[in-house]
Amino acid sequence: MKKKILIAAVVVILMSFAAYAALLIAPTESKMGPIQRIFYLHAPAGMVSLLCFFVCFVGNFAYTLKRESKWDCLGVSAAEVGVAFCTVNIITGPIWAHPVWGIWWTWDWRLTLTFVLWLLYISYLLLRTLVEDPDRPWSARSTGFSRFWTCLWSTDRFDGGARSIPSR
Amino acid sequence: MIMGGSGSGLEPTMAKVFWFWFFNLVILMVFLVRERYRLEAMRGEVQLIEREAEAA
Repeated sequence: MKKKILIAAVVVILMSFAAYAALLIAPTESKMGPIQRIFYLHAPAGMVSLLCFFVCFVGNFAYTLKRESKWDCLGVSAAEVGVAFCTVNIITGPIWAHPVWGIWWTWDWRLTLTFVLWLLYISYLLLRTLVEDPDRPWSARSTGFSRFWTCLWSTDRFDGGARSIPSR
Repeated sequence: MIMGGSGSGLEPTMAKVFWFWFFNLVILMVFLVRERYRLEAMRGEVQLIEREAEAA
């Protein structure tokens, strides 16, 4: 218990320093102004959510092969944390985009696929709570992983959307 | 552009803050996944005990 509190305290201290660094140490971006500082939360949250979904894939893939409950536990844990980080990413994106590009949202490949990825993992988590047998949400697992790759691919392939609109 | 060839990428201080944020969030992720994993494993054990109790 003490160890858990200690780790939690270290995480809080590190996050506080990260917030301080983003708000006071990092220079203000010349075109976008102070709102650009949200980028320090927005982009890493998106990256970490993809990392979580990858861990979810590894857990579910191992569970499919070995049928050991520990892998299923890892899969669902990573999916839940990934959805939380993906939510942060989806919320902070429009907060950044509106003052800079004048739009809250655009249905370009990257944003749409991220939104679909988010919905897919929410449906996976919902399916898991609704179905007793842990083998059932298999289709959600596999499609979720394919969406994960298309999301990564779209980030690389389609560098458009809100960012293609000149800053105000 | 966070990473790229020469002439692209973040300003050095911005890049440091960005990667600091990234590694912090990874630590937070590991902490949260670990805690959630323990909870899920505990839930599985409780379910198993419940099934055994029902069968007995």
